[in-house]
Amino acid sequence: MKRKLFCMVCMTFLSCYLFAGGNSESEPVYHGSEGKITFYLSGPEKMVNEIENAFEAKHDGNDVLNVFHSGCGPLRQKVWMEMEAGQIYADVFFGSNPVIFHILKDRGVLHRYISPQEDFLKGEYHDGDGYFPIVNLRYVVLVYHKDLENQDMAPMSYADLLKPEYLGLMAYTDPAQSSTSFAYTSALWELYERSNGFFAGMKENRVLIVPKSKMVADKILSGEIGVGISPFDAVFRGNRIAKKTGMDPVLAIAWPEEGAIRIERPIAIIKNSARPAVNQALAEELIDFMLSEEGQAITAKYGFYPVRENTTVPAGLHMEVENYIGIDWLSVWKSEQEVRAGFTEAMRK
Amino acid sequence: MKLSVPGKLRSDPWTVIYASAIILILLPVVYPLFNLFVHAFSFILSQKVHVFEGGSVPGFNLTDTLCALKNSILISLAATAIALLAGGALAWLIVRTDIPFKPLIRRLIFLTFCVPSYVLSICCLEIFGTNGFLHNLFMYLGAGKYQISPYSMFFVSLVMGIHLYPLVFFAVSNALSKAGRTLEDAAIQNGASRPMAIITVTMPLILPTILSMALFVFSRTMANYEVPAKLFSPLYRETMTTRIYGAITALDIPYASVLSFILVLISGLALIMQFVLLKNKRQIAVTSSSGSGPRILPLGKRRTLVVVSVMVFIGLTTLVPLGVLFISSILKRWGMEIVLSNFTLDNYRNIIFHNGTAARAFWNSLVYGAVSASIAAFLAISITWMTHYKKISGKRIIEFLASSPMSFPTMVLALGAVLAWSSGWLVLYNTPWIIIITYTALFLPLALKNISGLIRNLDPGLETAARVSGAPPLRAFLNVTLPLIFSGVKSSWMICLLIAFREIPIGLMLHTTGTETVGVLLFNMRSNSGDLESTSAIAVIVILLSVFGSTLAGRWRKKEGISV
Repeated sequence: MKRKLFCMVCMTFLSCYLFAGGNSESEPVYHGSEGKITFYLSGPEKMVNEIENAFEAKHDGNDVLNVFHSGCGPLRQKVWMEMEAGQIYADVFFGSNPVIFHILKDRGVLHRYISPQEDFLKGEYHDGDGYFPIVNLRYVVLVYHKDLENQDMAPMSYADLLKPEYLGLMAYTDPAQSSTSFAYTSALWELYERSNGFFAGMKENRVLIVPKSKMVADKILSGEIGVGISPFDAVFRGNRIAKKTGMDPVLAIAWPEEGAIRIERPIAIIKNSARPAVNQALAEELIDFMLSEEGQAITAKYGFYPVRENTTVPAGLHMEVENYIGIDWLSVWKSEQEVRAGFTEAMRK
Repeated sequence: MKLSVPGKLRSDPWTVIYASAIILILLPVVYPLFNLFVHAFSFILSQKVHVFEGGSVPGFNLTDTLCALKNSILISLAATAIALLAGGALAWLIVRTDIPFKPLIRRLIFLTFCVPSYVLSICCLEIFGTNGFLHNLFMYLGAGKYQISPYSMFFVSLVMGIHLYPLVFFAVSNALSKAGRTLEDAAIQNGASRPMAIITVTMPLILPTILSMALFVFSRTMANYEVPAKLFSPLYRETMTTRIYGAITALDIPYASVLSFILVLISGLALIMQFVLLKNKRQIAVTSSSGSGPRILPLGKRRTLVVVSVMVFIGLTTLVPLGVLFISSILKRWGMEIVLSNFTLDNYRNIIFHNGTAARAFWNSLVYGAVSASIAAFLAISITWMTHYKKISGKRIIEFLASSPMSFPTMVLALGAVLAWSSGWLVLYNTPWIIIITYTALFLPLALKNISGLIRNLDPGLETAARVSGAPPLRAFLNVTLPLIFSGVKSSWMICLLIAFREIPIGLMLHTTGTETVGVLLFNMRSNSGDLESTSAIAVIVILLSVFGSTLAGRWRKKEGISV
């Protein structure tokens, strides 16, 4: 009896091991259905719905998009987990920051497609090789509660945030949970001579760490904190919603003296040789749409800066931001662990 | 007495059912965890410390892991102390003293039990936050600078302690009720004073229950993700669960597997110790079950003081948080002044009628919960029936495997599911089935515990009589055993369903478009101003559902004569 039992247990674990090992080298499989593509993207929910509706309207209202919408950090995590597990389920991936796209390109999982719409983009936003064109831009600015103006406490630069007057009043987004925050954390790391001095200063000012970049503006709106670093689009939308609901738009923006940090938001088609031709065409059409005048106008309505010339933008969006800090994404990719470790070290003090 | 059916199971339909049950246990429980361990050990063996080529992960060093482990242990110890103190003291007062309003106090404690831990942490922020109700009260009273921060290890422990003390209360109440008065009275008649009799006779009787609950509270706190994520992570400090999530977010799945493995080892140890203690408890209960109920001790002059203290405690831990939650749910925007003109029902209206995701999340939780609870109940019935009535080799292993998810943090179950079902021979990732199969693993130990208790209490002679009268085995079970345990099975099913409405990590890690659950909605809810008013409205709906479901389950349990 004991021998039988022993054999049974061994068989169980052996079969588990064999099945568990079958992850990596399998033939590509297409998990979607013909005529409907899966689109992973980050951004505000209303913008996502508007993109979906506008794109489907171009296909006679047919349900051609299966949209997965999430924050930029979780989205990046989902794509990565799927890749590690064997296959990315998305047909098209949009959002986050260019680092993950560089890695995906490096791993050979991106499909090359040069959209005809790229001809209408400002020159600097061409990817060059057609793997991940830039759809729009985020500018990272200083945001504060308007009441601080009355107290003569409005910050003018990133360095101002280290002043003792902001003790316990500040929030910052965790770069480990938000890829947007990781991008501007890397820029601040570079700005402070590749050191964690800025973050250590914030820690001394008892900074509150939040998981999403949008939450900095949210927390200022609710009065929990007074000042922080946030993408411009989150502040833009926060104030617009406040106005719509009859509230006082209390969020104020300061374009930092050092320059607003610019983050590009790319889009890419995931390579899959098993994808039906009709879906491949849909994926390419989606890229075209996001770079078209209509697609650019939709995202601009939510505070994202367009990369296409002569796009209609809402009031409040400065068309040209001259004082900005650009990011060298390849360098950010290489120094990712150094930046993360530096930030962690500063925050653990 | 067991059925005299021989060990061979040929020609018995239960053989097929049992074999199916074993496969169904292996699928949701063993296979994902095996995948997790394979990943963890591959990582350790290859000494791979980086994800991206050329880079290392210095943030994920041993010191940080030990620090996270230390934080988890400290929080769990503090929460255990709070839960034991509050639950134990209240149980003693309710069972052993003449404190008034006992039914009311029981109901209020039950209400605390219905509030999910994540919702309690939201209440904590709403009360103690820098723009919270206490802050406003300070301002109103001109009481000086407000310096309380809800972001601390203390508040994480407090929230977990309050969340879990009702379980200690129910368990210790049961143990005290069963302890009876005979042994204690005998000690007094032999010259012991009342306090001495309590310390030397009653306390040892209930000590295994207390220790077992202490281990349970400890392991549940160790496994909790949502409360530290809400109240501890803003300080950039970690527990083991937030660290696992952090590793996943940092795209380091192998490292997350290793951390999960460590957490499983600790929780597993706690589970084994709990089993040992409960085994001892059963032995004691047999010797002490005779005699009448426990002797009620008069509180005397202190009665008023005690009842006021109890009411203040329950008011602060249950009524105030629920009141704050309700007020927040009807505010136009969190942080606004509490005046009638700022109240609105729009938050509820939006969730119920206008927010498609919210309606879908409630529906998904209901469907996934119901399907998983049904599968878990079926598996639990099959396993228990076969292990109880049939002589089968390896039944202890099957029981152990089916119970093992009890010791695993839900986040670990979710990670195992991602690794197991994303590719390979059966792909469930990005479908509702990955959530259903993981919920099944989560519910199985609970269903097994409840249903095995019911079946073991039945006289096997009943079914034997049906068989002797010519009924085939399946009909004998369906016509005799099932009707007798059906209310208990329903109750267990309902409890599982309620867990589906409050569970967060599994939904969070396994959902995709269209498969969002209520937990995902609660965790990710975005509204005009930092999530709080809409999140509060959802939380109120979840609590109402929990109260309704738990009351229903309680009634079904009473039918079976099982105490809560």
